[in-house]
Amino acid sequence: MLTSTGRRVRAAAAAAVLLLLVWGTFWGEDDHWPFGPFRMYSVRNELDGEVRSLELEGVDAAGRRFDVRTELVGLRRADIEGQLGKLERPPDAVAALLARAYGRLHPDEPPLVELRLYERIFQMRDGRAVSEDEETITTWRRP
Amino acid sequence: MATPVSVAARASAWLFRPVAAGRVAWLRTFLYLFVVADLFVLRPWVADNGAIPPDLYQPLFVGRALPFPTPTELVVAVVRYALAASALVAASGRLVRSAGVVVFVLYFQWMLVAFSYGKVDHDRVAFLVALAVLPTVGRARWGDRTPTEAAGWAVRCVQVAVVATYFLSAFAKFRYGGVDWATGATLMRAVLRRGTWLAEPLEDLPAVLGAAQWGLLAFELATPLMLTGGRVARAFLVTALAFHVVTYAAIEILFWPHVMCLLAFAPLERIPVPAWLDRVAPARASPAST
Repeated sequence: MLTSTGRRVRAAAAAAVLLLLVWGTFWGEDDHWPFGPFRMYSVRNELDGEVRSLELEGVDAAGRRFDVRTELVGLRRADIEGQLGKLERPPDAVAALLARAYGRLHPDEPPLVELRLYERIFQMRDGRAVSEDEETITTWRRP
Repeated sequence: MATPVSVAARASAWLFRPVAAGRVAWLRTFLYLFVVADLFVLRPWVADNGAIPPDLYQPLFVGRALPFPTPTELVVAVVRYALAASALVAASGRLVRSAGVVVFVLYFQWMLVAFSYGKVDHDRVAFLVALAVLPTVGRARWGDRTPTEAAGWAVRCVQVAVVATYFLSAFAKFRYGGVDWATGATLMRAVLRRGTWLAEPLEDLPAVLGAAQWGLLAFELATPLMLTGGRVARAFLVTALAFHVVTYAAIEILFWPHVMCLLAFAPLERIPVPAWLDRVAPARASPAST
């Protein structure tokens, strides 16, 4: 069995981590991970509000127009939305960087000549989507 | 009458209630093998983060405070393969202290990379706690029914971390969404953004999603009952599993590392050890070597 020192150290460590997690829930932010708040799905969306979803559309040097899954540029959709939203990076710069990332990750594919960042917008009424629209954020074109 | 001393004594007895060492042995095998699966199958895109221009890298507080290197393709590749190698060693039950510590540090670094490009995930805390406590137990063999306090504490820590993830997320909802979070359209937003064909009917049933929101909140606030053991705990475990399965079917999100940690509630020491596995296991520990 454990020595009394062993128990004290373990109990203290467990208490410290738990206290940090509680602190994070009420006063921390994502930046304090792993002691940030467990804020998955915590934001309340208005029943008559908008739901936006970021999408990418690309055109490659071979003329093919295709939906660019965000994994193809090495990120998740939530990452890119975070770059534009929380991190407030300029959309033109982000689009250019994503195009560059695509080139690095797919050196054997025709390079992108155009990358459009756009949002699908669902308008909700009483918690149900009543219309769907699209809005371009920015379009990068290869110089 | 509950004196501070007796409360502390009861808490200590609960925290260190001995658990069979074999549970830790299986937990290690499952969780360390999961690390390898996470690296190459479940979230291989983290490796792509190294190819992203560093202008998009935004390190978290820990990444700024400690000397973690900016992810380049080389850094990411080195971390990835070192992590896989040490996880495989630890999964076999060998060098559990040193390999286990290496896995914890490198997995922490791996997650810092993944979360430094705009999105932090919230399904990893229990898993990180598990990676931190598993090396403290010393050698443990599959099928070993000997209860030890070291194993008990480690398993209890993982259980508390799992419960904290559910319980504290309810308060995050109150903090970011308000006390009326359950009356909003959060689940509808999730279904619209990434719903599967199974979830399509739900797009016309906001009342069902609203009820689900209330149910989720009630479940999260009641999860400390999982720590009481017995039938109540088992019922919660089943409910938790059902919740995760339904979530995956509806929006294709599975909180994998968190779900793996639910194994800490299961009597893994009862898993029969096939003969070939017994031969592969490291030599029985002598009392002095743990």
